[in-house]
Amino acid sequence: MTIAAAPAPSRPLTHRLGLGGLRRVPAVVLIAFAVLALALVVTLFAQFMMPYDYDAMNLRARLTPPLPWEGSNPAHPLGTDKLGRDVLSRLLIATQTSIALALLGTIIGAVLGTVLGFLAAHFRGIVDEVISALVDFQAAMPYFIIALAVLAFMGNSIVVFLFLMAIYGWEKYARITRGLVLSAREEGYARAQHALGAGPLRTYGIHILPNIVSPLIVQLTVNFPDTILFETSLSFLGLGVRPPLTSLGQMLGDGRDYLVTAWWLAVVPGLTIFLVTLAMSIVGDFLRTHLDPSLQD
Amino acid sequence: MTALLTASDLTRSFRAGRKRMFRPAPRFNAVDGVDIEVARGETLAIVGESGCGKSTLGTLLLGLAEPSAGRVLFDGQPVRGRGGDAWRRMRRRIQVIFQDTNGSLDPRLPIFAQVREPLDIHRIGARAERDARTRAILGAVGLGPHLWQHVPGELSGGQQQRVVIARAAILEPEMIVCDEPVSALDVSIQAQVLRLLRQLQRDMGLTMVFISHDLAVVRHVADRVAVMYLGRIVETGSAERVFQAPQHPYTQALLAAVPVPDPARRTARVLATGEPPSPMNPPPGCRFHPRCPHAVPRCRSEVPALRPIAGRETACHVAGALDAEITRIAAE
Repeated sequence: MTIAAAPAPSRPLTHRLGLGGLRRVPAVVLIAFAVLALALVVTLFAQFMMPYDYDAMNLRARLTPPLPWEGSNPAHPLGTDKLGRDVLSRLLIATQTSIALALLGTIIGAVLGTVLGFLAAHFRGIVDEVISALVDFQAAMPYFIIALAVLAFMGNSIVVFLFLMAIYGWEKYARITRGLVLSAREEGYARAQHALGAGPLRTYGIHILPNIVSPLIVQLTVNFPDTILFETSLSFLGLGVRPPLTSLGQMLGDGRDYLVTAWWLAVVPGLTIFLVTLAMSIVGDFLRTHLDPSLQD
Repeated sequence: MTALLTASDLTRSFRAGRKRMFRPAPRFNAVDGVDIEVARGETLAIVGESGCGKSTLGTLLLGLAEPSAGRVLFDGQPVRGRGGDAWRRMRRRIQVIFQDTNGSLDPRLPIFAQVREPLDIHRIGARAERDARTRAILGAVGLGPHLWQHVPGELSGGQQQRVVIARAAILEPEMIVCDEPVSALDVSIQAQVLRLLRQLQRDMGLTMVFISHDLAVVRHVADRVAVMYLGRIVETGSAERVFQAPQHPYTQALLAAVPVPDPARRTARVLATGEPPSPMNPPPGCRFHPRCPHAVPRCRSEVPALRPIAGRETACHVAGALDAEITRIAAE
């Protein structure tokens, strides 16, 4: 038997993810993608984009309003704050901090939850019961209160803060993964793997995970805005990111006192939070309708 | 004749229904004390109605399930210790083709990768060698290179079945257990796939266990037949003998139910009456007696053992005496 032909080129990734049927993407989704792309660029390159050092004070130019308003200064397009710091520069750094924290937290949480879900489904028995109990515990807890307590006891370092963000929402991934793996294990392809002598790692990694990844990606997009809001809420309360570092929530909290006299200090970060989370939700919704097989056709 | 696979007193029981307080949960035996031997190079067909335990027997022979009692020897070694190293090595020697072809392939992976996978799992050869073997076996089962990067959903049922066969054959196993390998396919495709299986068997010297409810299919492939009824083997022998002159009333009923296209060859129908009884509560004595047209009082109380009758083994108290009666019915 001599067959010389090499295998045809691999299929495009979009096809394997079930996105091959995408034709028209609605304008609002495109805008949302653009907002997220901008946010990503800011997250990666904020240091090179800011016109001033985000922490440089200029006490003689305090509370300058943003551009079209009276008394504004073209050198500070989004105005300055109570210490004369450039709001645009601060906004870039704050966006970077908030998104990086939320992204890292979401990814760590997703990986943690998914791994625990796999473990529960694989071992069943006592392991399953412990993990399921943890999931229920986490879901029933008012997490915000727990987070406040942890921050109060452990003190506030960026590691503790990141840890809290990662723990936020892991149980949803664990629950989804456990259910999906349990049903996928009964599928013929998983049983066939077993009969071929494949170990569990191979079956889970190469076969089951790609087959259940869509709902997890959807969950990721649902969870991400929540995590940003969680971060901003804690920072707003002064329990999150500490000065001199800044985040969107912290800027919002700082601006709160000046709402009447210098509204832009709260509105600029508030609007940014709103736009990023809205864009993420729209993209998440879009992905859900295109990745979830039960919603297709 | 050397036995490649020997199963003795194989039993697999399942819990049925809920556990009650102070009472053990009711159990039933899907496979009940089965002895079976498969000689190297032969094809043994296991036939019976759905629910008779033939698929369960298949998983026991494969070592995919642990028997509740009894044991399976493959080439002298016990088939057991699910998931252990010895068990995993044995996967190279015993392969399986499942009933649900479409379901037994990963819907997202191109078929080339799926057929190569057994070699990846058992770390056989270098990458290039694996690819070469995969190309060869895909060619051997009649799947052209234009199909190799397709996912299973884009293939027809017959092509999918060829993928499954290629995946089972690429390890060059000594034995393949086929569980209803063609029952989901069109009749025209069935013939092609059966021809492919027989060709592979010839080329590779395969031993096959062929599980099916379809006697027309079994007739084409089997050297020997074991007929199962409610977890027990009621008749076993060479396919020729069993099909030509069935001795057990159940085998007779099964064969009589196969439509014969030639009206001149139509024989007297020996039909089983009623439904098969629930395996939860099997009748005492011979399990077939409530439906058997020839039952005598002894059938109700005494379990018949397999005994040699007319060149095969039959578990029936009245079988030997039946021959004469069949002739009489046919004459009427």
